[in-house]
Amino acid sequence: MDTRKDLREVPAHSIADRSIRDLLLETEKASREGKSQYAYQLSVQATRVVPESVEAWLMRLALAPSFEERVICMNRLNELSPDYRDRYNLSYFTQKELFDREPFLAYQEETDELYRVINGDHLPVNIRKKRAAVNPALYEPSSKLRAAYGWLTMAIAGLLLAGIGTLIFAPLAALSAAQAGRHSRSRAEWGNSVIVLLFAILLFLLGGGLLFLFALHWLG
Amino acid sequence: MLTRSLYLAVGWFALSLLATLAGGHRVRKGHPMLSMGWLTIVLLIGDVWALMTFGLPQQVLYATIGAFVFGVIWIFLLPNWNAFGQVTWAMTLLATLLFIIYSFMATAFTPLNTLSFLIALDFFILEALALIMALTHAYESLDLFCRIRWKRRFTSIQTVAEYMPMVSLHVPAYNEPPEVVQETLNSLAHLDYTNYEVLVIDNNTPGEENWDKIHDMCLELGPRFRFVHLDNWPGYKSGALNFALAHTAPEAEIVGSIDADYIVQPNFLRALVPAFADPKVGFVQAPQDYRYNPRDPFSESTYHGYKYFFEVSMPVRNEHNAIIFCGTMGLLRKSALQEIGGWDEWCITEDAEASLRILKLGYESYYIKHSYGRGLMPYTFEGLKKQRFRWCFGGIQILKKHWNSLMPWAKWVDPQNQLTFSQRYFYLVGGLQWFTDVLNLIFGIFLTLGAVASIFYGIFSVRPLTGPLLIVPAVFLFLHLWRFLWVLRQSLHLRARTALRSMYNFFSLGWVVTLACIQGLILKKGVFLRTPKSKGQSKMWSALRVTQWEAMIGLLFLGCGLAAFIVRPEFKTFWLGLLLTWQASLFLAAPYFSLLSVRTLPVPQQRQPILDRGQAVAENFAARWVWGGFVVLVIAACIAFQIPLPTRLPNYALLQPPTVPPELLMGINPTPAPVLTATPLPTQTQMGTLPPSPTAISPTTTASITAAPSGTLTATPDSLTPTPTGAAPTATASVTRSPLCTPTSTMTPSTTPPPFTPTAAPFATPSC
Repeated sequence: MDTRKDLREVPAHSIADRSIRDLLLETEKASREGKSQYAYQLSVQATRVVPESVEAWLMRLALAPSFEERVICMNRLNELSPDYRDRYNLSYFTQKELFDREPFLAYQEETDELYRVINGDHLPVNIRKKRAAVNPALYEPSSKLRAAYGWLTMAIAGLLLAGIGTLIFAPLAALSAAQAGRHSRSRAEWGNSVIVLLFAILLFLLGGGLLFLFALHWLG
Repeated sequence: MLTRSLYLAVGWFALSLLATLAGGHRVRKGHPMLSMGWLTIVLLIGDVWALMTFGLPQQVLYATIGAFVFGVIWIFLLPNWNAFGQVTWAMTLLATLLFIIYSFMATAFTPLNTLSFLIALDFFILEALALIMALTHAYESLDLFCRIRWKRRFTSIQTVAEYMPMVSLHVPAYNEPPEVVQETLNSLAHLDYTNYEVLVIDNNTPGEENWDKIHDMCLELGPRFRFVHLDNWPGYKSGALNFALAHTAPEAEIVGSIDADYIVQPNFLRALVPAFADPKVGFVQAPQDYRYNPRDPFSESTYHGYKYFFEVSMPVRNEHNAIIFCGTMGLLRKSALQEIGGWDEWCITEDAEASLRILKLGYESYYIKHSYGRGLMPYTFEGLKKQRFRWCFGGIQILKKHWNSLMPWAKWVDPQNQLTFSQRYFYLVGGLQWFTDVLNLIFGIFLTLGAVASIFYGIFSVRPLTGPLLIVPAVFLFLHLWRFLWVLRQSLHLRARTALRSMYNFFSLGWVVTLACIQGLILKKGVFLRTPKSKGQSKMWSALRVTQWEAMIGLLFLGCGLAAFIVRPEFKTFWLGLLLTWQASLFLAAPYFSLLSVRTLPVPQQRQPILDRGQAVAENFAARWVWGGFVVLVIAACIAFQIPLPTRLPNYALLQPPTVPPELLMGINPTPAPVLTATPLPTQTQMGTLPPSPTAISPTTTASITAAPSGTLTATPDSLTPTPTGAAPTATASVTRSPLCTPTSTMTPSTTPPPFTPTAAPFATPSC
């Protein structure tokens, strides 16, 4: 590939002592002056010297002569920092060109920020999701609070047994809620613990009332 | 007092509702004085009826004062409704509340054996829930028809000069017939809006030859149209839409999702996009409309079933900024969608779920009540079942995921939750209303138990059949059904016959909704329904097989109802049979519509929507939960029959609400019952079962229908024949009657504990 050849052409030590900032400024200047080949070589060097520099990869993406290299740059950029600021939408246009050429994409895996796919030519592609990280499907409270919810559900269902189940499970719910409240990770979790506790008490009273009626019928 | 107040409240409710339906909804002016005037008229008319028939002046006066205060409170709480709506709502609520209290008192203080009490208590809980559901439906109808001041009623959005942000339209497609997609893409190519792109995302369609045609279409339509095929892509439709979001043009500010079978009108974007000029707007929705054949009754009734939501529910929700995003024919602000993390791939109704999260961030939503495109409906009943299953399952998923955010205390727990009270109410009720069909089925099962019991035992000791428990639910049922039909007719401009058919189409999916509710509660991941298939059979047979469960349940209900009446031809079994016939008709409507759907051949371009998202749940397999519940109830009822009833009159029975003979409501004085004294203990009582009395039925209602069986411990004249056993009398129950009062009983204390004496008075009417 052209990329590998370019990387061989410019020795790394020639710019080793120069700051990446200077290098990028020089690349930009060369590019503005129309010395695109030189600018490109500088950008390649910049990505070699500081492979974690988003700016360097962006510069190289803008100057890369081949489509394949642009895809590699885009992948690298997306890996490095999925929320980088792509002022000129270089990454988007590369992606667009890629899909226009070959609209087939096979899913490989994904992270919170990226899709990893391969296209019809088996070229790996990283695609930015461009959205906030998704919350878990269901709200997952702490184990104590989860237990409290579980007991509370049982306590509600226990009303159907004339409150017998409620009298058993509501105290357990209250106990779990109190523990969850003490070890809460957030204000919301503490608030939920308090609510569960109050509901457990309310249910206990209700269950008690129903059980009283049940006892009346039992005793005749 | 309670019984008379209940009858009176039901009278006020009936009067106010009928007046509203008869024309009161047309009143477009409102003033608190006007409302109070109408409230007074309704109350006075009710009072006159009560005083001429069953009412006692003092009690009527107290009830009227209470109702007036209650009504005035609602007049001030609902300032944007006309007088008819305010009074109807107040009286509906009052009647329902009083009935729930009455029903509880009757359940709690009727002498029953413990298991019967347990069944009665569970029945009461279900009944109360069903009535609350009915209230939510009533509120929605009244809010639509009796609202005189609308703040957010839009049929169009005012155009904003030079505001033409880029829109990215996403068309997810899976295994779609190319000719159907072509129509959609052609319509999108002719939008009279310049700044937009169309992303066609084909996910997981097998075989390149199937999706390549769509790719070619996109190439032909120009650079505005782009196509990507996703292979082995997770997340179903939402997964594809999330990818589309990742690939949306960076300058796009608005995204829209269009189903691959929609023909969109050219002005769709021009009409809806201006709403986004207001940065607070998160999403905009236009009605989903469908192409249907008006000469095909199945297609027509299905169409109206869909339309009901967009003509009734959505305008009401829009007024409270609580609409749901329905996917196609809607637009969202891209930044809002990105802010919430895109579409939820876990939920199978990702569109509605996303709208809740957007509203939670404090965005506003608009519903524009004007159709801008038409799609295809499922052309078989099987397709309709699958679609309804998906919607309901998704609704339950949303409820499971977000219930915490919808509770009244949600804002206190999470201050970042921006949902208003109305938004929380509508989203919560929207999820809970699915359970109406579950309650309906359970009531049907209770009725069936009552019928079986009356056939084999002649008595089903669950609850006394006092007047209100017989009459009030029947009135509720009749009036709520009438209201529903009326709303259908008024909002969709239907003839009575078409409205009735549409209503049945709506109710015929009760079974599948029940299954979806149960599965939604039990299963964590999205599933789809696999209906029973038949091989090598005719279309008619296939149509029947798809609805075999509904047919079976319907026939069971019908058979039990008829058998109960034939074996014991009495008024109560007649009433039971009638209710079971009604319940059966709801289930038997399923095979009827299934047969209708295959009778008419679909037009060539119609297709079955792809609804298979997640693991398949076989209907036969899923039905086992329902049958499990039914078996448990049957066993419980059988045991309940064997457990002895109380052998003497318990003291708590005095707390039973008094009965008012139904004849009195018509101004007819009931025949006085003989004074019974010193009734010897019957042999059967000693065995722990009461003398046979007719099966008692206590129907109740939901928006559709609910009814329930109950039995009576109250001895009726038929069962009061004393059976001398030679035992010495130990208790005296004297019964006196007055024209306006039900029998009054007096328990005379004796030196020995009074054994149970099956007389009418002590159980039915402790006081007057």
